[in-house]
Amino acid sequence: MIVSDSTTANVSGARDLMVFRGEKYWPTPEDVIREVHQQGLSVRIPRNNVPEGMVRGLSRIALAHIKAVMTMERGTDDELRAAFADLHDPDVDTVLARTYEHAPSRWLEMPDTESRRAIFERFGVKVSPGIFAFCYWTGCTYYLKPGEDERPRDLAEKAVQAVRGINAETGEILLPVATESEEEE
Amino acid sequence: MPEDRLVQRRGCGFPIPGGVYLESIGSAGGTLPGIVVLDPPIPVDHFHRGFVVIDLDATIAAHNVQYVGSSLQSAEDYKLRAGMDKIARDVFGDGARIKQGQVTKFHDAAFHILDRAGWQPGGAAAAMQARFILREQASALAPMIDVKDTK
Repeated sequence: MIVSDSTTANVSGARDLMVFRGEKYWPTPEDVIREVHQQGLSVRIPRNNVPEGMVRGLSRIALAHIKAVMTMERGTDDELRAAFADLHDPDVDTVLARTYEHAPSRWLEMPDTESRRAIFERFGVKVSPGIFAFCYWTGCTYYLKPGEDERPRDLAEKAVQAVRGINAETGEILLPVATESEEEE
Repeated sequence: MPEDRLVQRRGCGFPIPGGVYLESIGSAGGTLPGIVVLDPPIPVDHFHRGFVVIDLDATIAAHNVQYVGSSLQSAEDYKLRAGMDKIARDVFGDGARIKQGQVTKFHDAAFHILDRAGWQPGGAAAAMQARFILREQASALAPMIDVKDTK
Protein backbone atom coordinates (compact mmCIF):
# COMPACT_ATOMS: atom_id res chain seq x y z
CA MET A 1 0.00 0.00 0.00
CA ILE A 2 1.41 3.37 -0.99
CA VAL A 3 0.78 6.08 1.59
CA SER A 4 0.58 9.52 0.05
CA ASP A 5 1.70 12.88 1.29
CA SER A 6 -1.02 15.40 2.08
CA THR A 7 -0.91 17.04 -1.36
CA THR A 8 -1.15 13.99 -3.62
CA ALA A 9 -4.13 13.64 -5.96
CA ASN A 10 -5.15 10.61 -7.98
CA VAL A 11 -5.15 10.51 -11.81
CA SER A 12 -8.53 12.28 -11.75
CA GLY A 13 -7.14 15.14 -9.69
CA ALA A 14 -8.84 14.09 -6.45
CA ARG A 15 -7.53 12.66 -3.21
CA ASP A 16 -8.12 9.05 -2.13
CA LEU A 17 -8.36 7.71 1.42
CA MET A 18 -8.10 4.35 3.10
CA VAL A 19 -10.10 3.31 6.17
CA PHE A 20 -10.14 0.08 8.14
CA ARG A 21 -13.45 -1.51 9.03
CA GLY A 22 -13.12 -3.13 12.44
CA GLU A 23 -13.43 -6.89 12.91
CA LYS A 24 -15.46 -6.29 16.08
CA TYR A 25 -18.40 -4.94 14.05
CA TRP A 26 -17.74 -6.55 10.67
CA PRO A 27 -16.22 -9.98 11.34
CA THR A 28 -15.34 -10.43 7.66
CA PRO A 29 -14.80 -8.16 4.64
CA GLU A 30 -17.93 -9.73 3.10
CA ASP A 31 -19.96 -8.28 5.99
CA VAL A 32 -18.79 -4.82 4.95
CA ILE A 33 -19.61 -5.51 1.28
CA ARG A 34 -23.13 -6.69 2.16
CA GLU A 35 -23.75 -3.62 4.27
CA VAL A 36 -22.51 -1.23 1.57
CA HIS A 37 -24.80 -2.92 -0.98
CA GLN A 38 -27.74 -2.32 1.33
CA GLN A 39 -27.00 1.05 2.90
CA GLY A 40 -23.94 2.59 1.29
CA LEU A 41 -20.81 3.41 3.26
CA SER A 42 -20.64 5.65 6.33
CA VAL A 43 -17.40 6.06 8.27
CA ARG A 44 -17.15 8.19 11.39
CA ILE A 45 -14.20 10.56 11.47
CA PRO A 46 -13.00 13.09 14.07
CA ARG A 47 -14.90 16.33 13.46
CA ASN A 48 -11.69 18.33 13.71
CA ASN A 49 -10.06 16.31 10.94
CA VAL A 50 -12.35 16.56 7.89
CA PRO A 51 -10.24 15.61 4.84
CA GLU A 52 -9.50 18.24 2.21
CA GLY A 53 -8.99 17.76 -1.51
CA MET A 54 -11.89 15.33 -1.86
CA VAL A 55 -13.96 15.51 -5.06
CA ARG A 56 -17.46 14.01 -5.19
CA GLY A 57 -17.55 11.05 -7.57
CA LEU A 58 -13.78 11.09 -8.17
CA SER A 59 -12.25 10.57 -4.73
CA ARG A 60 -12.31 7.00 -3.53
CA ILE A 61 -12.42 5.43 -0.09
CA ALA A 62 -10.36 2.25 -0.04
CA LEU A 63 -11.76 -0.27 2.43
CA ALA A 64 -9.35 -2.33 4.47
CA HIS A 65 -9.91 -5.15 6.96
CA ILE A 66 -7.57 -6.97 9.29
CA LYS A 67 -8.56 -10.29 7.61
CA ALA A 68 -8.71 -9.22 3.95
CA VAL A 69 -5.77 -11.24 2.65
CA MET A 70 -5.67 -15.02 2.98
CA THR A 71 -2.69 -17.22 2.18
CA MET A 72 -2.36 -21.00 2.16
CA GLU A 73 0.97 -22.70 2.70
CA ARG A 74 -0.29 -26.01 1.31
CA GLY A 75 -2.97 -27.14 -1.16
CA THR A 76 -5.34 -25.28 -3.49
CA ASP A 77 -8.69 -23.51 -3.16
CA ASP A 78 -10.41 -26.56 -4.68
CA GLU A 79 -8.78 -28.87 -2.16
CA LEU A 80 -9.78 -26.55 0.69
CA ARG A 81 -13.37 -26.56 -0.55
CA ALA A 82 -13.32 -30.37 -0.82
CA ALA A 83 -12.01 -30.65 2.76
CA PHE A 84 -14.98 -28.65 4.03
CA ALA A 85 -17.46 -30.50 1.79
CA ASP A 86 -16.19 -33.81 3.22
CA LEU A 87 -17.42 -32.73 6.68
CA HIS A 88 -21.03 -33.26 5.46
CA ASP A 89 -22.18 -30.58 7.90
CA PRO A 90 -25.36 -28.72 6.82
CA ASP A 91 -24.06 -25.42 8.27
CA VAL A 92 -20.83 -25.80 6.32
CA ASP A 93 -22.75 -26.73 3.17
CA THR A 94 -24.83 -23.54 3.52
CA VAL A 95 -21.65 -21.45 3.51
CA LEU A 96 -20.24 -23.42 0.58
CA ALA A 97 -23.39 -22.69 -1.45
CA ARG A 98 -23.34 -18.97 -0.73
CA THR A 99 -22.09 -16.34 -3.20
CA TYR A 100 -19.08 -14.30 -2.12
CA GLU A 101 -17.50 -11.26 -3.71
CA HIS A 102 -14.54 -11.37 -1.32
CA ALA A 103 -13.54 -14.99 -1.82
CA PRO A 104 -11.55 -15.52 1.43
CA SER A 105 -14.61 -14.50 3.50
CA ARG A 106 -16.20 -17.86 2.68
CA TRP A 107 -13.55 -19.63 4.77
CA LEU A 108 -13.73 -17.01 7.53
CA GLU A 109 -17.51 -17.47 7.76
CA MET A 110 -17.30 -21.24 8.20
CA PRO A 111 -18.76 -22.24 11.59
CA ASP A 112 -16.02 -21.86 14.20
CA THR A 113 -15.50 -25.51 15.10
CA GLU A 114 -12.63 -27.84 15.86
CA SER A 115 -13.00 -29.20 12.30
CA ARG A 116 -12.44 -25.75 10.82
CA ARG A 117 -9.39 -25.17 12.94
CA ALA A 118 -7.98 -28.56 11.92
CA ILE A 119 -8.54 -27.85 8.21
CA PHE A 120 -6.96 -24.40 8.49
CA GLU A 121 -3.96 -25.95 10.22
CA ARG A 122 -3.65 -28.70 7.61
CA PHE A 123 -3.62 -26.16 4.75
CA GLY A 124 -1.56 -23.58 6.63
CA VAL A 125 -4.25 -20.90 6.26
CA LYS A 126 -3.21 -17.45 7.43
CA VAL A 127 -4.99 -14.10 7.21
CA SER A 128 -3.51 -10.61 7.21
CA PRO A 129 -4.59 -6.97 6.70
CA GLY A 130 -5.40 -5.64 3.25
CA ILE A 131 -7.55 -3.45 0.99
CA PHE A 132 -10.44 -5.48 -0.43
CA ALA A 133 -12.64 -2.84 -2.11
CA PHE A 134 -13.23 0.84 -2.68
CA CYS A 135 -16.23 3.15 -2.82
CA TYR A 136 -16.59 6.55 -4.45
CA TRP A 137 -16.79 9.36 -1.91
CA THR A 138 -20.08 11.28 -2.15
CA GLY A 139 -19.67 13.73 0.74
CA CYS A 140 -19.23 14.32 4.46
CA THR A 141 -22.26 14.45 6.75
CA TYR A 142 -22.85 15.84 10.22
CA TYR A 143 -25.67 14.30 12.28
CA LEU A 144 -27.45 17.05 14.18
CA LYS A 145 -27.80 16.72 17.93
CA PRO A 146 -31.26 17.07 19.47
CA GLY A 147 -32.11 20.79 19.59
CA GLU A 148 -29.68 21.71 16.81
CA ASP A 149 -31.14 23.08 13.57
CA GLU A 150 -27.98 23.71 11.66
CA ARG A 151 -24.42 22.50 11.39
CA PRO A 152 -21.67 24.19 13.38
CA ARG A 153 -19.91 26.99 11.49
CA ASP A 154 -16.54 25.22 11.23
CA LEU A 155 -18.23 22.30 9.47
CA ALA A 156 -20.26 24.58 7.19
CA GLU A 157 -16.97 26.11 6.04
CA LYS A 158 -15.78 22.64 5.08
CA ALA A 159 -19.00 21.93 3.10
CA VAL A 160 -20.09 19.22 5.52
CA GLN A 161 -23.80 18.53 5.00
CA ALA A 162 -26.14 18.44 8.02
CA VAL A 163 -28.85 15.79 8.41
CA ARG A 164 -31.19 14.75 11.17
CA GLY A 165 -30.94 11.00 11.71
CA ILE A 166 -34.22 9.10 12.03
CA ASN A 167 -34.24 5.47 13.13
CA ALA A 168 -35.86 3.67 10.18
CA GLU A 169 -37.19 0.92 12.46
CA THR A 170 -38.94 3.15 15.00
CA GLY A 171 -39.28 6.52 13.26
CA GLU A 172 -37.64 8.20 16.26
CA ILE A 173 -34.95 10.87 16.07
CA LEU A 174 -31.56 9.43 16.95
CA LEU A 175 -30.43 10.34 20.45
CA PRO A 176 -26.84 10.21 21.64
CA VAL A 177 -27.75 7.92 24.53
CA ALA A 178 -29.44 5.41 22.24
CA THR A 179 -26.51 4.85 19.91
CA GLU A 180 -23.46 2.69 19.90
CA SER A 181 -19.92 3.80 19.31
CA GLU A 182 -18.91 3.28 15.70
CA GLU A 183 -15.23 3.81 15.40
CA GLU A 184 -12.32 3.20 17.64
CA GLU A 185 -11.15 6.78 17.56
CA MET B 1 -33.71 23.15 6.68
CA PRO B 2 -31.59 20.06 7.25
CA GLU B 3 -32.59 16.83 5.55
CA ASP B 4 -34.27 14.13 7.66
CA ARG B 5 -32.49 10.90 6.89
CA LEU B 6 -33.85 7.44 7.67
CA VAL B 7 -30.99 5.32 8.91
CA GLN B 8 -30.80 1.62 9.61
CA ARG B 9 -28.60 -0.13 12.10
CA ARG B 10 -25.17 -0.92 10.72
CA GLY B 11 -22.56 -3.38 11.99
CA CYS B 12 -21.44 -0.63 14.35
CA GLY B 13 -24.91 0.57 15.35
CA PHE B 14 -26.61 3.85 14.44
CA PRO B 15 -24.87 7.13 13.54
CA ILE B 16 -24.11 9.27 16.57
CA PRO B 17 -25.67 12.75 16.71
CA GLY B 18 -22.79 15.24 16.78
CA GLY B 19 -20.62 12.90 14.67
CA VAL B 20 -19.12 13.57 11.24
CA TYR B 21 -19.12 10.81 8.64
CA LEU B 22 -17.36 10.17 5.35
CA GLU B 23 -19.99 8.77 3.04
CA SER B 24 -20.49 6.86 -0.15
CA ILE B 25 -24.24 6.80 -0.47
CA GLY B 26 -26.11 6.58 -3.73
CA SER B 27 -24.04 7.56 -6.71
CA ALA B 28 -23.18 10.85 -8.33
CA GLY B 29 -25.29 11.05 -11.49
CA GLY B 30 -26.49 7.48 -10.97
CA THR B 31 -23.44 6.11 -12.70
CA LEU B 32 -21.05 5.09 -9.96
CA PRO B 33 -20.97 1.58 -8.53
CA GLY B 34 -21.82 1.31 -4.84
CA ILE B 35 -18.69 -0.69 -4.17
CA VAL B 36 -15.87 -2.08 -6.27
CA VAL B 37 -14.34 -5.26 -4.88
CA LEU B 38 -10.67 -5.97 -5.59
CA ASP B 39 -9.36 -9.43 -6.38
CA PRO B 40 -6.88 -10.27 -5.04
CA PRO B 41 -6.99 -7.99 -2.01
CA ILE B 42 -3.97 -5.70 -1.62
CA PRO B 43 -1.81 -6.38 1.46
CA VAL B 44 -1.43 -3.56 3.98
CA ASP B 45 1.41 -3.76 6.47
CA HIS B 46 -0.63 -3.01 9.58
CA PHE B 47 -3.92 -1.72 10.99
CA HIS B 48 -4.48 2.04 10.79
CA ARG B 49 -6.87 4.03 12.98
CA GLY B 50 -8.85 6.83 11.32
CA PHE B 51 -8.31 7.54 7.64
CA VAL B 52 -5.04 7.56 5.74
CA VAL B 53 -4.43 9.48 2.49
CA ILE B 54 -3.16 6.96 -0.06
CA ASP B 55 -2.21 6.83 -3.72
CA LEU B 56 -4.84 4.29 -4.73
CA ASP B 57 -3.95 4.37 -8.44
CA ALA B 58 -0.34 3.52 -7.69
CA THR B 59 -1.38 0.89 -5.15
CA ILE B 60 -3.68 -0.85 -7.64
CA ALA B 61 -1.12 -0.55 -10.45
CA ALA B 62 1.51 -2.21 -8.27
CA HIS B 63 -0.66 -5.33 -7.90
CA ASN B 64 -2.34 -7.55 -10.45
CA VAL B 65 -5.80 -6.49 -9.29
CA GLN B 66 -9.10 -7.27 -10.98
CA TYR B 67 -12.52 -5.89 -10.15
CA VAL B 68 -15.30 -8.16 -8.97
CA GLY B 69 -18.84 -7.16 -9.89
CA SER B 70 -21.63 -6.50 -7.45
CA SER B 71 -23.48 -9.53 -6.21
CA LEU B 72 -27.21 -9.56 -5.64
CA GLN B 73 -26.87 -12.76 -3.62
CA SER B 74 -24.46 -11.03 -1.29
CA ALA B 75 -26.95 -8.24 -0.70
CA GLU B 76 -29.76 -10.75 -0.15
CA ASP B 77 -27.68 -12.58 2.46
CA TYR B 78 -27.23 -9.29 4.26
CA LYS B 79 -30.95 -8.57 4.09
CA LEU B 80 -31.71 -11.95 5.62
CA ARG B 81 -29.20 -11.33 8.42
CA ALA B 82 -30.57 -7.83 9.09
CA GLY B 83 -34.11 -9.20 9.41
CA MET B 84 -33.12 -12.17 11.56
CA ASP B 85 -30.86 -10.05 13.80
CA LYS B 86 -33.84 -7.80 14.52
CA ILE B 87 -35.87 -10.83 15.63
CA ALA B 88 -32.92 -12.02 17.72
CA ARG B 89 -32.80 -8.64 19.47
CA ASP B 90 -36.56 -8.77 20.08
CA VAL B 91 -36.20 -12.16 21.75
CA PHE B 92 -32.82 -11.92 23.51
CA GLY B 93 -32.30 -8.17 24.00
CA ASP B 94 -30.38 -5.35 22.34
CA GLY B 95 -26.95 -6.95 22.48
CA ALA B 96 -28.03 -10.14 20.67
CA ARG B 97 -26.50 -11.09 17.34
CA ILE B 98 -26.83 -14.34 15.43
CA LYS B 99 -23.55 -16.27 15.31
CA GLN B 100 -21.57 -16.41 12.11
CA GLY B 101 -22.88 -19.08 9.73
CA GLN B 102 -26.09 -19.56 11.76
CA VAL B 103 -28.44 -17.07 10.10
CA THR B 104 -30.23 -19.54 7.85
CA LYS B 105 -30.45 -22.08 10.67
CA PHE B 106 -31.92 -19.41 12.99
CA HIS B 107 -34.42 -18.40 10.31
CA ASP B 108 -35.51 -22.00 9.77
CA ALA B 109 -35.74 -22.75 13.52
CA ALA B 110 -37.79 -19.60 14.24
CA PHE B 111 -40.10 -20.35 11.33
CA HIS B 112 -40.54 -23.94 12.57
CA ILE B 113 -41.42 -22.75 16.12
CA LEU B 114 -43.99 -20.26 14.82
CA ASP B 115 -45.45 -22.75 12.38
CA ARG B 116 -45.85 -25.37 15.13
CA ALA B 117 -47.62 -22.78 17.30
CA GLY B 118 -50.10 -22.10 14.48
CA TRP B 119 -48.91 -18.50 14.13
CA GLN B 120 -50.11 -16.49 11.13
CA PRO B 121 -48.36 -13.31 9.92
CA GLY B 122 -50.10 -9.96 9.54
CA GLY B 123 -50.19 -6.72 11.50
CA ALA B 124 -48.67 -5.42 14.71
CA ALA B 125 -50.64 -7.80 16.94
CA ALA B 126 -49.27 -10.81 15.05
CA ALA B 127 -45.73 -9.45 15.36
CA MET B 128 -46.20 -9.08 19.11
CA GLN B 129 -47.61 -12.59 19.31
CA ALA B 130 -44.63 -13.95 17.34
CA ARG B 131 -42.25 -12.26 19.76
CA PHE B 132 -44.10 -13.84 22.69
CA ILE B 133 -44.01 -17.33 21.12
CA LEU B 134 -40.31 -17.07 20.31
CA ARG B 135 -39.47 -15.83 23.81
CA GLU B 136 -41.29 -18.85 25.24
CA GLN B 137 -39.14 -21.10 23.04
CA ALA B 138 -35.95 -19.06 23.37
CA SER B 139 -33.92 -22.03 24.60
CA ALA B 140 -34.21 -23.63 21.13
CA LEU B 141 -32.73 -20.50 19.51
CA ALA B 142 -30.16 -19.62 22.17
CA PRO B 143 -27.31 -21.82 20.84
CA MET B 144 -27.30 -19.70 17.65
CA ILE B 145 -27.00 -16.38 19.52
CA ASP B 146 -24.16 -14.31 20.88
CA VAL B 147 -25.18 -11.71 23.44
CA LYS B 148 -22.96 -8.66 23.85
CA ASP B 149 -23.31 -6.43 26.93
CA THR B 150 -24.57 -3.08 25.60
CA LYS B 151 -24.31 -1.17 28.88
